[in-house]
Amino acid sequence: MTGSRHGLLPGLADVEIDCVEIDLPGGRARVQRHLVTNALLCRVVNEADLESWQWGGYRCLNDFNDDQPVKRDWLTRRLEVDGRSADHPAVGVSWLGAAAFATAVGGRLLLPAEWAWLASNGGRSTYPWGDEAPAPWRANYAEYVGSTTPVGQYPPSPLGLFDLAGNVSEWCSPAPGAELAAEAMRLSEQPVAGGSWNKPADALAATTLRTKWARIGTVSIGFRVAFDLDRP
Amino acid sequence: MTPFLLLSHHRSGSNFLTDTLQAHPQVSVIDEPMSMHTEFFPSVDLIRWGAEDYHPARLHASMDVAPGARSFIQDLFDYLPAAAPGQVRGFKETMLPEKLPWLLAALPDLVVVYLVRDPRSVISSVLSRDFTKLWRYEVTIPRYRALYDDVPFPIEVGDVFERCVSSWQIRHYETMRHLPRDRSLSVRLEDSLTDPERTLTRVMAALGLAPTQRQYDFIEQSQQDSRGSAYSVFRRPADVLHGWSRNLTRRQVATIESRLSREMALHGYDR
Repeated sequence: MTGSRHGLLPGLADVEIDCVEIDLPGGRARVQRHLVTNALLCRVVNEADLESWQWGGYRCLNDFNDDQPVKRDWLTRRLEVDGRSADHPAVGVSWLGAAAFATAVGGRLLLPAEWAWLASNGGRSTYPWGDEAPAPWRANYAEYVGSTTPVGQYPPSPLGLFDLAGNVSEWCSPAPGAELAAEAMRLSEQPVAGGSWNKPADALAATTLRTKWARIGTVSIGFRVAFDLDRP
Repeated sequence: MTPFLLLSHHRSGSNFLTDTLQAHPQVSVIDEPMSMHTEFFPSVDLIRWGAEDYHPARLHASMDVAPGARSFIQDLFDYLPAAAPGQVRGFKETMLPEKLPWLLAALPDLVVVYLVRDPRSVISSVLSRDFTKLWRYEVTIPRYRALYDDVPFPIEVGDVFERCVSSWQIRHYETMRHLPRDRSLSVRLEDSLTDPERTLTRVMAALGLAPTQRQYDFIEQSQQDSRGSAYSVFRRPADVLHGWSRNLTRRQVATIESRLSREMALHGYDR
């Protein structure tokens, strides 16, 4: 089943987030069909004013990396992305930024166990596409492309989700409601699931899970949002 | 376990060693938190900071103008030593050797792994991809020459190539004079390709760990083919080891081997 979710902030009322409705082990939820794109990131960060900007550093988006396609207009301080990269997955976003984004649109990040469940199609496959060996036409990994690719360019999983294998790894939430304690988590490491465009084939397995400093935004970590249907 | 810094010149294979280290389940590495995650540190590249310049609250007086960068680095200095038992946290940088005394004052237990690559390969790589603009050698190298008169070699700034040679020589000099002798290790990139078992064992021992099979698997996978972006870790060893001989002119090679003769001999690079 599919559906869409509208943002909760008044300025985001027209933002539609394409989702797939799935019975996760913990309850029914709408899971974002695609990774959060640069265009969506700009829209929400600008509208919700998520970046508490101070000269020389960042909280949400590392726009100091020259490879980052999203740039800050230093006059208006709003984020902008060129048209060619608008539909690529957002990268350079810290865990703090990803969690704040999810909260701003009324959702949350996936739990690692939920991500693994989705990537293994309910525990029935090694990779999001099945059990066949990785190949460059199944996913963007191991520098075969050399950068991120537009979301949805590779075949979807049987559950209808795109880019669970490769393109970018995904920030997850260590526990339900962890986003609320984001400020206290600035010194912690947070879960990152799956492989990415610059990581080897073995990272494409549904069980791939590592941690990364919550404060850092890298060129190979993105995220997607889930919206609970059963929980209050 | 104590935090570590993986320090190298630009284009020395630090991404490869970073990913090799991170293939170990007990190791996490932050990729250039100062030079790629703040706007501040690239602007003060090759300006020396001493141990006496470190201040626990301000970090450094010149950071008063960059509260965002200071907040970020304060968090980094709190995060790195706070690893869970058995875990090792580190970061890599391709700038900042001239700030090692300041860093060691902030992180007294820091272990430094100095990754060296044949300067002919480094300079060839920087030139072939025109990275000098990104790293602003046209500003930083002349500025360093103007600021410091205690450097025991002439600093050439005449053209892009000369500035690349100077960058390697200056950063090597600053690294060697500040490496903590009891908590540092020098590693050649070439050895990590030709003798990964011995090299990785040395590096991991410096971090208090032993290598895992997954790390060797990563090295093997990354060497199967040369592909991807400028920062790709997927490179055939022949391209990494000998690519410079196709890209540099004889005159450039002769200049490097003349200007850096002592440094190359120190690290065992044949002329």
